[in-house]
Amino acid sequence: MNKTFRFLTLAIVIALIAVAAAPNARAAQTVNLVLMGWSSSPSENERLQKIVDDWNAANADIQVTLNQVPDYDTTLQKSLAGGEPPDVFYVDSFRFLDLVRADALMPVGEMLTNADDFYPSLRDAFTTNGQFYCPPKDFSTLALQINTEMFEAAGLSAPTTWEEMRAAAEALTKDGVYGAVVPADFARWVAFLYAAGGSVTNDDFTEMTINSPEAAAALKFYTDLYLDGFAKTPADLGVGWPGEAFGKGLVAMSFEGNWIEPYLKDQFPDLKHMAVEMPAGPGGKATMAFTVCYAVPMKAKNPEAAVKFVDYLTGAEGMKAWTDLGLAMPTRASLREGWLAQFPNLEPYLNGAEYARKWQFVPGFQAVLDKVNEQLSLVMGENQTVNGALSEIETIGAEVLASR
Amino acid sequence: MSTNTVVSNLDARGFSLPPNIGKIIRTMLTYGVLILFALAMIMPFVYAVTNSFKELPDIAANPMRLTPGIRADGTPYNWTTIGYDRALNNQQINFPRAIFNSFFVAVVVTIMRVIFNSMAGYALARIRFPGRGAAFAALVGTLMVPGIVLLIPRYLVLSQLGWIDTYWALLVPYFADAFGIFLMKQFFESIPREIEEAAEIDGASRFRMFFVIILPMAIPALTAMAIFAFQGTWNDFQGPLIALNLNRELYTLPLALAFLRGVTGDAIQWDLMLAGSVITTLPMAVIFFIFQRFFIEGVSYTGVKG
Repeated sequence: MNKTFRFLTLAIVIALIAVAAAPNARAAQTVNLVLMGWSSSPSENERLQKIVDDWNAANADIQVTLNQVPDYDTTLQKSLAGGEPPDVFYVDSFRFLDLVRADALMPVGEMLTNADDFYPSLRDAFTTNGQFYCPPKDFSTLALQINTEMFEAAGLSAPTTWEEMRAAAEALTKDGVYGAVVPADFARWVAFLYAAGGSVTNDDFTEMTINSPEAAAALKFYTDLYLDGFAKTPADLGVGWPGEAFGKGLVAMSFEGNWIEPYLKDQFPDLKHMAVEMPAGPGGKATMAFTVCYAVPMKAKNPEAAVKFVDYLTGAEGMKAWTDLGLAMPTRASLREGWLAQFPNLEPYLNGAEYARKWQFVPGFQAVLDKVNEQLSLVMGENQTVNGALSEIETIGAEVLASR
Repeated sequence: MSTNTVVSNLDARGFSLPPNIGKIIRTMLTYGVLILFALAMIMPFVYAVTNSFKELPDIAANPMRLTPGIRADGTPYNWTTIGYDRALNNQQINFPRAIFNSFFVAVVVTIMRVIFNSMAGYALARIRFPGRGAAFAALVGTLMVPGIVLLIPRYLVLSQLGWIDTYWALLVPYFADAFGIFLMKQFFESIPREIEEAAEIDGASRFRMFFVIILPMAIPALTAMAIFAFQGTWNDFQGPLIALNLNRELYTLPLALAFLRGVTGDAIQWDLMLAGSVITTLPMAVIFFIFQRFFIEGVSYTGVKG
């Protein structure tokens, strides 16, 4: 009995050691990484899964699990707070400074192959204090959508300046159709602000610069389209967003990003339309770049493997595989020609990379954005003057900047 | 209506309405208002269901039509099940599995809550033990804490237990809830003590007395609680979001639906989303119709039924 017992104990101990040691032995050869991003449209989800599968097939030593999640912000917050962040994750340029300040990101940008190939405007969106943190995975810009049928019927060509656009809006406002759709949304108006030569803050986010004659011109131009009756808001038109108003043919022009293209193709296949670059204002051409990077966390367990994988995703091969879907655009200048050959109609969006401004502000700036949206509505409702709106925005912005 | 009838209805002032016309008008008004509100409640569901069987351009062009519309070139659109096909055969999300998960979790949680909440409620109502007042105060206190505050702590606890990405994390934390215990306690306090005393004299043990005598009397309260539990669990988004990380096989319907929607901004793929929504809503609707009688009884439960 005693002997049997001793033998059993020994057997169990050996078995335990074997079980405990086995994964360690394997871990020495294979690194397991998790890439976390948000769930996007089914076609994008499937394409990214395929790219990751291809990587896994070719790299036995670094195996990646793709984790696409709903409600990304909560999930990321949870993972960071839990002390076990994913090895690679998406960071929107808008959230970038928040995460850098929380010391959550490792600067890996310069470790990548040919890092100078990324468009400067997009590099800049993920650079702070001279450190390039994470490579942009793709980007979108704003462009002007025009309803070609309406433009041809009126004998108009695509507007290239504010004056031409206003004239076109006026000419096309007839028979229940409006010239343009102008949402009371900072993310659209800000492109006009930059085109007027204005700015929101100075470059290092220490001072508000929005209360300027340029900003007043931009605000006046944008809201006058509405007040003069050449444009409506999505709410006036009974639609959820500007793209829907444009798709339904309720307006002749809309300012949207390249995400509108698959939407119009799927849901309004009969619509005749084209994208042109945003019309130039008094300060020249301007658009916004909305971009997301592949970030490696400060607490990365396998930084070398993570960087190697990110280098593949944002390198010539991985980025080509991703952007060949024709939705988001390649962030490497060297991929421009090959991409345009496939999607010539998207050139106006890609051209925007040359003069786009980054969609990035300091932590807490959401309050300023909300204020701008509110003031845009008030000016459109003739309940606020242009200068009154700008000084209100300046006041709240100064509070946010001072509280940093 | 003959002239005679009208004449015979004339009163001293020389004119009159048929005797019941006031009543008819009242009834018509009442039903008119009722029908109007019923339509306002039902139409969103009707639109969701009909649009889920339409083609995407058709939904975009004619969202308010109950049947497929006409294209610009005059050809009609067709009925289609492509939205359902896209939802159920999604490569990333196992939607049929999500339906099972939702059912499994909701049923288990409901059963456990019925058992644990009623036992805890009974203890707080009837058994004298040290700290009973404090325990009850703490319980009611937790009702005041907004759920969002507990998001990260809950994740940390689950991850310490090693339950992330397992059914345990979807089930165990929800086996009892403060509101249910509170509801049951209030109900048990309304049952006359004499009944228990009689049972005690007959020699019944505490457990026997509870399960054989008290619990059957609590069916209205239990039904109400079971409904809250099932519906709350069925619709819960945040709980499963915290509990699951990499294991998408355990997604419940609200998570699967959110995943399907993705970060597509305003450009929502309505055929897919509406089909997913109908699949998510339908089981609750079916259950409601089957158990309608109990639902009404349970919800209208006001406390004392002696």
